[in-house]
Amino acid sequence: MLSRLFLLFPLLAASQTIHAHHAFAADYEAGKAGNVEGTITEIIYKNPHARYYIEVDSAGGGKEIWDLQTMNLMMLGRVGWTKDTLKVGDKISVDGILGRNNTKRMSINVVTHEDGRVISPQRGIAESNADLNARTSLEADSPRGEFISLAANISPGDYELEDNHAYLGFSYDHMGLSNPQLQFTEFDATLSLDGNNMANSRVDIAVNAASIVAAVPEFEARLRGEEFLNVEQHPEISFVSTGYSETSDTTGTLQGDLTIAGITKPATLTVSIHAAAMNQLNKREMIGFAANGTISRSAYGMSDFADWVADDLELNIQVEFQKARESKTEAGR
Amino acid sequence: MNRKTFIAATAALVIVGCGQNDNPVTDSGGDGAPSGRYAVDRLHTYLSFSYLHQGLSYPLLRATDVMGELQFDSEDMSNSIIDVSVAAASIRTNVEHFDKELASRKFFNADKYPYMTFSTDHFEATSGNEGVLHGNVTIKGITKPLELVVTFNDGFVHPVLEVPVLGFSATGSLSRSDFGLDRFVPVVSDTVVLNIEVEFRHGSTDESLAAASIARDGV
Repeated sequence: MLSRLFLLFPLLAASQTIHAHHAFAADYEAGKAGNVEGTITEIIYKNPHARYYIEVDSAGGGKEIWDLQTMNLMMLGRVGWTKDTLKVGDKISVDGILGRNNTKRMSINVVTHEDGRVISPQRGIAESNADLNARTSLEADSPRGEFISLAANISPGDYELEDNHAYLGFSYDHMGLSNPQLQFTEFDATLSLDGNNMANSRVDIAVNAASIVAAVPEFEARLRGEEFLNVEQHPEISFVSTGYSETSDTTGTLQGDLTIAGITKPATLTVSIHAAAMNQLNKREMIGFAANGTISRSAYGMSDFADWVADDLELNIQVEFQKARESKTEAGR
Repeated sequence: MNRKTFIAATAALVIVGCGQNDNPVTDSGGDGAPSGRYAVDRLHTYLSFSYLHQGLSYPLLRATDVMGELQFDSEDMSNSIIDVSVAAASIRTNVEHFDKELASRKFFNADKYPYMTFSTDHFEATSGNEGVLHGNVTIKGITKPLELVVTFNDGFVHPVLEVPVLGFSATGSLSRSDFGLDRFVPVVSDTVVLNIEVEFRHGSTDESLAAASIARDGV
């Protein structure tokens, strides 16, 4: 039986991908430009980066393969760069940023094609260098939203909770003495992600109210009872998102309807995306984020001990999602 | 005097006490909570820790069996001494087989090393009601120094239990590889962040446990 930790082995590879997104400098020597010329042997036109492998005549007389990377498909699509723009067998000359430590990798700045086209991931496809240079980078005045979400690194679609790595915690001020850290241990969630337009993304969460854990079982039993969660009558706590607005490429505000003990109120969560990348072993795209927010327990009819326990509950949610399989088969944990 | 007024009055006394002293840390709580022996209040103690998993998330793990005693000096908190032990098999991840794996020889080897311990070297008051607790932590038989940034939240006589209580929040971090817990570094981060919320009750551990079983005040 595979333990959850064995699943981590692939992630050495995955974490390299993650680093490539978070820290460009991890793979490329910033500012160290170079040029390579060769013939395209393989194209991987997929997120998080489109990649072109080219065969180059090496200084020693043989052949070597270079790994050329550019941006994610959404950004390429903005300038008209599609999977058909470059083809296997095309001869190209590429200016870009060289990989560290003499690895045969490059981040593409400009591709000059044998047919005369000059192609830039920022400025699109031009007939000549002069034509290209006359254009301003789309980055400079993007007609789209203010931010390119980190989630654009992975494909749009349905994502399911990776429930080995999902935590739903909350805390509150107890008599000015301490801030107890409670959790719900059983919940499921679905994410409909559109990294290219995060406002279209949706998340639904369903929590087993009885799964609350506290410091001692007696307190847990009390919280399940009628004066608090009343789990007999209301076994499920739910959150259904109604909107998302980005505040940066990794942060945003998630609006939704939160239902606790049968009472529904609007709630706002602040989302922080930690990473969005491919898990290299099982080839499933993943996204991990934190969500924090404050809710008033009295708004949900739970106002006992108001003298001793703060009304505000601080939510701390840590979750990972993985791309749902078409067939909905077991994830292979 | 109702409960709220009582707490407010106690808090006011504490604040006045702070204001009259050049070194408020040594005196805060002095009016509400006397010097002496205190025990961890297991109803109100939470020891959580976290790490970065694959760059994607920060799991929230819990150590659920925490015992400890505090020799509290209300006149000079730097004279206070704390000893805490945490059952290595009591870590909860919300995933049953991972709980077992953590207790196994792959990680904490709880059969051979059933308890993690922390003992005080000295407390260094920094500002206001904060300070740095310098101590030693022992995990899997390996002892290393550990610094915790501590906030003394409050101390007073509990209005219902009629026993002095103290509350602290503390944070710190350690490198798990220092303690032979280096599996999956760096995919799972070496740095583990500790988040401690702890209350103490005046009396011995036995008295605190007895009180907890009788009172079950719950909140």
